[in-house]
Amino acid sequence: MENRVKPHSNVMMLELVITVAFFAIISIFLLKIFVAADESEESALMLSKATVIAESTFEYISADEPLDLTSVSEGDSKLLVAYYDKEWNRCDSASVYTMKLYETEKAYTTGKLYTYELVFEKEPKGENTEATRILSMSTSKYRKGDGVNE
Amino acid sequence: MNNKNSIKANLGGPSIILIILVLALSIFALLGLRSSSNEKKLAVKTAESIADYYKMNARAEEILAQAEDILATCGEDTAAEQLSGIPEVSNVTADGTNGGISKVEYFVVSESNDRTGLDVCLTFNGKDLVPSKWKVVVKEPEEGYEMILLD
Repeated sequence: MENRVKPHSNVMMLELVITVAFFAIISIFLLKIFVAADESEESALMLSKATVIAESTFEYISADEPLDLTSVSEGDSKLLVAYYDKEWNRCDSASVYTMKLYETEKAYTTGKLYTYELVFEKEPKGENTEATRILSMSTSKYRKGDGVNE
Repeated sequence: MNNKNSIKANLGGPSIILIILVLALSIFALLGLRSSSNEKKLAVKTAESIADYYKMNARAEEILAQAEDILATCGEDTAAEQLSGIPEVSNVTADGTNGGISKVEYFVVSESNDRTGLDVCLTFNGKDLVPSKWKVVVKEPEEGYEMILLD
């Protein structure tokens, strides 16, 4: 009896080993696919969030509502900045995401045409030294009477 | 005899489990990848269409500024001519008080999709040009156009 079982056990053990080894090899490729799917979903979520915030900012501009952004001077254009953490909550200093709003103006006889360039960036992480641009949009707003009496 | 049968039945079991497991994981991985790539495509398209709208909006605001400028600096006789010189302006109505400009209509075409545009109508109230229409218009597809539902 023992003589008949032993060869089968060896075969079974060999089959198990081959199975585990094969599964380990296949897992590498499957894990890569799962990681790629996760990265793609994360970037889609990031873009969606940035789009919603950008749209909301532009609607505030269209409605002439005051913007709750930090003002920073940069060259000829006025720069307004807002910082967001990884959960997309507003924070006071540079964290994970930065929204930059460049404002330039062009004078007309009756008022001024303000052009806004909005850029969303992801702060550099690890060895990267440059911020990754997520989104870029622009719009303009004409304000009658602005700068007329200056 | 019984022992022999039970050992035979166990042989090949791990292979079958492996095949089922690998198949299931592959299906889930591919479905996940497909779903996330579709989500990304949708997010990119949404961002592009919103950016496109604000680009049209920017051009419309620029024309509004130009129109206000023309009305403030030019005489009533040359204002209509100057306004008509702006490429997007489709119609200038001059039936206001003393033959002045009463309405300026223009259409800003989207850069990415020529079937979409911003239709604007500015009405002159004697002092300012006030937008009475500021609407995104999508033209009907031409005959023979096939809508692609699946990418």
